[in-house]
Amino acid sequence: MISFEEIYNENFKKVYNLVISYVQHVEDAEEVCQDVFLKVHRELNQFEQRSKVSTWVYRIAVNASLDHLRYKNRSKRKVFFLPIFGRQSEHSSFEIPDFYHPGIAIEKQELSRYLYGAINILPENQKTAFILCFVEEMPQKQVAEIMQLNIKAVESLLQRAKQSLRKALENEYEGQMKRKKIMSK
Amino acid sequence: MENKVWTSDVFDSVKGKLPATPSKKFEERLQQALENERKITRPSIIHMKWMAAAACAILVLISINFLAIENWNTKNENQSANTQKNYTADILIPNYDFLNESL
Repeated sequence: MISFEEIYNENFKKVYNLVISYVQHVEDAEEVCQDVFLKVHRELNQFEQRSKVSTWVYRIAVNASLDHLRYKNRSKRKVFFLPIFGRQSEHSSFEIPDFYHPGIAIEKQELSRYLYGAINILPENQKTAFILCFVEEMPQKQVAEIMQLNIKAVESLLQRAKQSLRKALENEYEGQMKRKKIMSK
Repeated sequence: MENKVWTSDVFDSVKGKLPATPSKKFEERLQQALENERKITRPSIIHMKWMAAAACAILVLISINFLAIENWNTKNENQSANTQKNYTADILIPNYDFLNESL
């Protein structure tokens, strides 16, 4: 039986990076990550070893991240004035977050914010497939195991996610160009 | 065209990123949280065991009590039936003269 310390040392970086791509906030990611490892510690005795330990840990991380986002969206909806004072511009189809991923090169950070913003408009399963396959560069087989789907389903989710993101980003670009034209006049 | 280039640049911006690491305090906080969890769960498990043992003991006592009461009741019934029998046998003398009050 693998010990908690071994699981932690082998997976904490990957889990943290996975969570940060979802929650897009350094402190929130640490909090969610802590919850993930507390759950792993609590349920380690019940782990039936039907899948790899890392797959099990990533599944917990994905669920914890989605729960955190659901909770955040729920509390966001309660804020009545947000649509009036929010950062979403009239041309954007998504909100651009104040998030700068600490591992991304400075010259790419501004562009990456658009991608992270667009990721937030995806449905949960497309978001998971995209983050795991594209952002975290995990093999599709492992993603299929984490999501408890077959590889074909993961491929199709990834394809749909890319299409939606491309569309949203192209709209965003057109919006930016319009704004620039208005400003130059 | 520019639109497509910009979009693919956005897609490529996350490629080849370095892994982010949590702050040094993260590990300390996790250790503390694990310690707290141990403190909370251990006594509560002991507590639950004691509670279960106490509940079993109470159940046993109640069942013994019921058995004892039932036993006592049946014994009493038997006894009273016996005394009644003896009493009627003693008192019901067939040729008793109520006027003379003597046998």
